[in-house]
Amino acid sequence: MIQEELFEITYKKNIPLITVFELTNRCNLKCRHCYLPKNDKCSGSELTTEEIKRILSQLKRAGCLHLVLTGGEVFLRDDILDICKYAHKLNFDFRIFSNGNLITEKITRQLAESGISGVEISFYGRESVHDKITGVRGSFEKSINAVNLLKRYKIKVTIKCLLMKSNFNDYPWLIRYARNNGVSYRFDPTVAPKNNGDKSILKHRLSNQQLKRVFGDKDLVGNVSFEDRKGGGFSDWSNDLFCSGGHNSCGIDPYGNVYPCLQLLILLGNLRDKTFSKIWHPGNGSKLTQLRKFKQDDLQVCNKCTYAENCRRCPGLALLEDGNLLGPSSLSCKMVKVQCDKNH
Amino acid sequence: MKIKRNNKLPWRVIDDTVYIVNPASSYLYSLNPLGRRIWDLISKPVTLEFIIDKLYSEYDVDKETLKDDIEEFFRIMGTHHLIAN
Repeated sequence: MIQEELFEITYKKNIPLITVFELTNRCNLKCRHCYLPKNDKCSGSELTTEEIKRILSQLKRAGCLHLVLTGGEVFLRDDILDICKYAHKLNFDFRIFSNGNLITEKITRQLAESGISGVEISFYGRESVHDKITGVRGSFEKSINAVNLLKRYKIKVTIKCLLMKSNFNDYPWLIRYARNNGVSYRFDPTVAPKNNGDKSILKHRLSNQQLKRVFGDKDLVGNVSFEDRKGGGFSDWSNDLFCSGGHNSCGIDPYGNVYPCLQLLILLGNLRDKTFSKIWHPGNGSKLTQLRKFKQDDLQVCNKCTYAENCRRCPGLALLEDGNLLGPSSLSCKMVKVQCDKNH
Repeated sequence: MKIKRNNKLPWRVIDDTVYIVNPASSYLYSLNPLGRRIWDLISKPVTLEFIIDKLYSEYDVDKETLKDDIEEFFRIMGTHHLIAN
């Protein structure tokens, strides 16, 4: 109830309660489904430690409480523990998304001391399946080691898995692994296009038959998310909701670019040029002001859909994959149909 | 005995309410404006008497009732590890 109250207040007042902060696009794995383009022609260099600390201070002042530090692979940054300590000093509820391959005992000890709320480790299945998807032999073993280390130092661990054709048969194994090891698990069937619009990776998406099994599996109830890369995801507390991105959730990339969320790639400004407050509270006529005016009623096609009530349409996916922020998202359409029709 | 807020916990003031997260339990707590005032007062270690005197000077309230309420408030805060003695 308090969570709902906080969500509603921050949504209405445009307070960035949740921020997903990509600290680097560099990665030590070569995952076949990665949404970051391989030759990331980025706009300049990654944010420095001092720039990140300055941004965190600005986020705190703006009201951000929940912070996700992600990548790429965040442990490729030498300053990650320093950033964690600073996030703790600013009283953020912060967690890290990682593949776990660079997590050593020394790092884990320091993470435990940093006050981190949790670490989410990406897994794709048993060793052969996992290593094939990541493109790096031995990555599975390193991820397993990371889970064991984090558990030993009493850091909350969640294993998260993108469900694809190639690892679909391994999800029951992952559930057993999570349960046997006392860690949480989360599955996501949303393979999104690359950030540059490249749709070649969509071939990895589950078939309708596989999706049907996902939605019918009681072991997955409450553990399937649909907008893993979104800051806050959809909420169903109001029918008048368009999306939380740009209201109470926000995304920042490694170069200081601010987006409503990391799935909704509408560039709002750069933190090297402006403060967070200036970007998040722009004048009338700005892209963000326009975005915030959108309501459920503006979704003219979706509003007429018989599945609308159950749909978890993601505007970022609709824009990236189908080219229309206010139009249907083909993946969301497919998923809601399978979900609603699974018993017929 | 001095009382201090548990500075290890994530928290924010949003819309005049303090929201505190307990990462271990994933619980979210909220403190109303009076609770927020107490949260501010215990940013540094202070005695219970100091807090009661301070609030008594700021609010139109019977001192015994205030004392009982504050003691109960800290009992609950203690149960949920929101304060450090």
